[in-house]
Amino acid sequence: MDTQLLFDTAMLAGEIMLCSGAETYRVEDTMHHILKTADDAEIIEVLVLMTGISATLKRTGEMPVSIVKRVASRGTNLSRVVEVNEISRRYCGQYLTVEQAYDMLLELKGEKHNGSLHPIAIAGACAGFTLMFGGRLTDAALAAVVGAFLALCLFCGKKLEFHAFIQDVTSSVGVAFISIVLKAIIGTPMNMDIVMISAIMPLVPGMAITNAVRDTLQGDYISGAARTLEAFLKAAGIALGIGIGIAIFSNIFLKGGR
Amino acid sequence: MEVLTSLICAFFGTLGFTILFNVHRRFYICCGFTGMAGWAAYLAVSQFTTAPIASLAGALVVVFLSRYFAVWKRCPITVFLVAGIFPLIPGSSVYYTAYYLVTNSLELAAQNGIQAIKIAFAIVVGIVFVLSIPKEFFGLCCRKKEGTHLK
Repeated sequence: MDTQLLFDTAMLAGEIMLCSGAETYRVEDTMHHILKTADDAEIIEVLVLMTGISATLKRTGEMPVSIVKRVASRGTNLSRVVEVNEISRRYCGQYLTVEQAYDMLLELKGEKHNGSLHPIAIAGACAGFTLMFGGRLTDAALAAVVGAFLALCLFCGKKLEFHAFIQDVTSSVGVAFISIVLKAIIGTPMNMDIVMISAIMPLVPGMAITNAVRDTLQGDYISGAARTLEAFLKAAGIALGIGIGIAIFSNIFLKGGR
Repeated sequence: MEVLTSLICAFFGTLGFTILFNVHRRFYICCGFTGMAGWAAYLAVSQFTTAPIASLAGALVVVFLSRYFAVWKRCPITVFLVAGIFPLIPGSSVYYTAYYLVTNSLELAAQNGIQAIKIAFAIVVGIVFVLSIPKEFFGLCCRKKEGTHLK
């Protein structure tokens, strides 16, 4: 078995997983399993942090190989995590050769994330949460509109390459803005609180909280602490954005309070 | 009736997140169900106690179901956990914190801020508790013990 190809496969699998929002522990575990298929391996070490991967493999009679890989951007694409998991399990179960596994991973990496459904998903989630929190049908319809606007804000933020924190702040300012404008137009039938609460749900750090707990439990304290900080920062960003939005726009559009 | 609507909406709300996180289509029903079950537990318990305790109950249900589905469907637990936990996240507390800060009701703002942190910790405790159940237990539940990447 070719050391270089095996190593590249493991690195690629780790990189795709880390970029797609997998927990640190899972990335380390998967890479370790792939590297372990080299039957004459003496040393296998994998270290994964939130921002990079490093791994070492030494086989009997060969020099040790080490590669460090910096991972710049991270998103959430859980289907990729599942796919890589699947490929690695099939490879480790010897249903795939290392060449096939590498080609499949390369193909997976090249696939573009189809985001055309996102605005509908965000609008739908906002409407669903409105009804869940006890809003009426009118509120749900308005929340869908606000959700669509939020999707637009997120899209613009991504295009302008805002920092994640700034993107949270601007998006929640956008949510506050459009909610208050709608409230000013529609008036009493609209429950602005519930609409706004539902509309910020797509921004709240659910992913960060769960991954923070899982990383910390596994003993990956650096990643765990980083993700905890990420969760707090996200929550603070939302609160800041909503606060700024209400402070500015309610004075402009809503005279005499809510 | 109201409860039923709220549960169905929890299902579709969670489904929205699964689409957003680009989860594969074959997990949609399970993800939606996880979110719905968590919200049902939250609603049931919140009749008797405070929001943090109810969130704990919801989180316990969500994580338990996620682990069960992860073993059953043989995929990472993250898929179900991340989507299912969303209905429980204290978005409303974060909103009211900001709202009362701006309207200068500092006492209410502090109350809601602390409430958000309490709920977040309740969710964390729920996750920790269920994750520390040995994975053999879930293997027995599903009678499929092979595979090392489960959990």
